[in-house]
Amino acid sequence: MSGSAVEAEPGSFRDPDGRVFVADGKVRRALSPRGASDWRALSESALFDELVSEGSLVATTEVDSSGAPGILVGEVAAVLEHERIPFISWPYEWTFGMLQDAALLQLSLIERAIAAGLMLKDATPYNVQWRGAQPVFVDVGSFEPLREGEPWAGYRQFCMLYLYPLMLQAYKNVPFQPWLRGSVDGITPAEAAGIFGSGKDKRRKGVFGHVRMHNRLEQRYSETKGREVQKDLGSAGFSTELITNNVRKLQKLVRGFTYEGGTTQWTEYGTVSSGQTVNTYTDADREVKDSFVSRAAARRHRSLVWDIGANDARYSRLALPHADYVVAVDADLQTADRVYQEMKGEGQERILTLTGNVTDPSPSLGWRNLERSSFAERMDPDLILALAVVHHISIAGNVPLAEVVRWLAGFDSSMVIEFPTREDPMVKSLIAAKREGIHDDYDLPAFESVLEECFTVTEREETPSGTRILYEVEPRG
Amino acid sequence: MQTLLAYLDAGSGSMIAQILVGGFAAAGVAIKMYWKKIKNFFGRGDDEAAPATAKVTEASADEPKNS
Repeated sequence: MSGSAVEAEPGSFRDPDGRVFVADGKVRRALSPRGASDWRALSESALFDELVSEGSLVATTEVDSSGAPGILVGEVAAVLEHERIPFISWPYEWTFGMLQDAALLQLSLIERAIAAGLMLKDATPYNVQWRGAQPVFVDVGSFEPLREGEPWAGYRQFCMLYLYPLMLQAYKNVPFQPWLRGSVDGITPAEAAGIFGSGKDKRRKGVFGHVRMHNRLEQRYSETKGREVQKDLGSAGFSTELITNNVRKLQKLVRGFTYEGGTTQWTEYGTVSSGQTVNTYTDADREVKDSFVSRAAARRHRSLVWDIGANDARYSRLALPHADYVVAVDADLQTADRVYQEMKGEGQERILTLTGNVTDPSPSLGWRNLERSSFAERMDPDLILALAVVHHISIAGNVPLAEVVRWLAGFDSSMVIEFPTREDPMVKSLIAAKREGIHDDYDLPAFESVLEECFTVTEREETPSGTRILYEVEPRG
Repeated sequence: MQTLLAYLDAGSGSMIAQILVGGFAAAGVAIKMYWKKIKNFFGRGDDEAAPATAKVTEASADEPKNS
């Protein structure tokens, strides 16, 4: 990412009129003559300034176009430079509320673009990134001048990557994340018709039109050329107003989606419920842990903190004053969603909430396995918070303890790590669920020996209960 | 009108679906398309799309909540 090398972003190739590349550490976009003319239509509109100043469109300036040889198949007519997004994430790492808010941003951009004589040529959540809890549309290349009478080209994509995944969670209580991870193009109308096409789901809001009728028409017109349909629509008087109608109805539909998000074991973790704390810490433990984490985080300023198993993001918040950006990841979808909603309520722009499981992280996906990079490729922290998480990876995830430590060492980052001993109530209950003897490798001396082999341990503190030990470590060499 | 296609295949069925989910204002366009197909049906013997459009247009009338 540094030096003068020009490398095209492997995920940015679908639209031939523009391609993102990184040069001198800057995120730039090469535009074809048509792409450049679309860009001028956008940048000269009042909408552009409005969107950038409210933060919903990535800040963009035009720069000298000489530095992008060979990036596009044809001529490079203009080069843009974008604001850098602190951490790139993919929709299958987002919570329900995040995909919902990204969908609402996409729809509002279409509505506002139409009012400004513009249109968006696609509708994919991969064009949305995050500044903490604020969604940012990053593809200025999506905007083009509106052509009156043409249908919305991105409608099908909107359904596949936003609408159906949200319906999956809202109507079936099935998380969309594994599906989006399994298919970069999302859920097809035929698949959606299979999911929602029977029983009471048939009558759910939006299913008749956006799923069943959509699917039936797609089957029926599969042999008909798009050009012919477009011509027919045009001569029958299709107007842009119909797109606006559809978009407004979709906004209402998407806004109304909720899901069975009752509290789980983890959403209550750390909170006080009917006078009793529901985690396994004492108040004294918590105090010690808070001050240990704060001290370690304050050691120096960090650019990226990764909070693994962030739960209610308590420690993400403690680290925040000493960091540019914090990525708080939790495997529990509802916990992560609740944290996202909290962050959104606060207008938090420096803590990004994601959902994911370190024992099953996002792989590299799409074309050549390069289109959507793996989580490990994107995550380059200078401080890792691995608090109350090692025992879950090692015991619940069956990863040998030494491998957990070696994996963490691979990030070459400072770290605060917590080791709950075999006497800890949570460890006891995790071990009790397994065959006896299967987690004999999980013990304190073994942990400390591999920790010292992989890191330089600079601080060590036992919590008052004696069952949790905190370490501050630095990478070796 | 221009028939400039996007880099994304909008999908023929998806293009028609979006006018049918567009509510009341869309009905006029759907009916016009329907008439055109009927005329084509008698004029050119093009029997492919006409019954499908007719069926869907009728069906959209009894959509439960979404209009």
